[in-house]
Amino acid sequence: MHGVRTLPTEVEQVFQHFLTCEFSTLARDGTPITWPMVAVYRPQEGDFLLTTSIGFVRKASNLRRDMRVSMLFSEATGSSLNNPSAVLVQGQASVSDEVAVLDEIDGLREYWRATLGRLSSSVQVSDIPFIRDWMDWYYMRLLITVRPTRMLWWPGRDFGAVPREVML
Amino acid sequence: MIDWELLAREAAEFRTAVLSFQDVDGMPFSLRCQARIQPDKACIELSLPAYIVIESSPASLLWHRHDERLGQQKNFIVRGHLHQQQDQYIFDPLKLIYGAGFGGLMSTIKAMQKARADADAYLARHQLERPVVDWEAFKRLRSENR
Repeated sequence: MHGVRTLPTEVEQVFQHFLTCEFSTLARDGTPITWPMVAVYRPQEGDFLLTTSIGFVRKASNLRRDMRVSMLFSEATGSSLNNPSAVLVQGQASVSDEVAVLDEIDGLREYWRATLGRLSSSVQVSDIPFIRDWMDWYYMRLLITVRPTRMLWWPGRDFGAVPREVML
Repeated sequence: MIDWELLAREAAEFRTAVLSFQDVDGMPFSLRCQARIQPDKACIELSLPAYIVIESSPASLLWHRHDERLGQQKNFIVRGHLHQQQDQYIFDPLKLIYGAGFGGLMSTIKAMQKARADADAYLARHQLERPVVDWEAFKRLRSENR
């Protein structure tokens, strides 16, 4: 998928409104390790932007060894969508070498804009000097870019039905 | 070593789990399914749809939730192995890994201390200067979202 691509409306809505996806990297022994993450869909680039703190580098280590990843969008809480679909994106990921804080690398500002817009005020730490200085590592980020190679979706998140495939 | 009582108690809070395995092309593949914890059999039984065809694969199960604003997060995963047994799939757990929402304040502080130390080590290993966070810029960005 390169550049602007027309996706089914149900699929695009999921990318735009779901707060998290279940992001899988492959461990050394081949086990997919899956954690919830924020993913920002960038239709102009035809990719997804995720980030990980340098305090949690296991994901980046996995990706530097094996670029195969998947993102399942299946948790609809907070999306405000009525009976949304679930979408599985399989693809290849790259990790930035640089450590970026806010907008030193293209795309990171839009990641934080999306992420901060989703977060509840109770988990904001940037207003409390003592805590924010102790937590500065959380904001030091490696950028993960995922380029999709295959996309499947389940209307109504009915995993019992055969998924539909988006032609990329 | 899996604490089956704990796993059964925690998993009971969720309706479904996210199963991830390697598909026939070697790519990670995830879907939601019902996971039945079976302490007596030391395994987890899974109900998977007929279109899933996989003999065996290293696999993991994730249980997670968050609220409408990404707060109140709770998540944990179990690493293990997936295989087909007659007409059902069996997940053999190897390791339980806690994520957000476990252990209380002291446990959270310890985890944050470790992450800070890991970040320091990363910067040292890559001979990078410690970046300075522009907190005012973050505040401005937050205010744009209100």
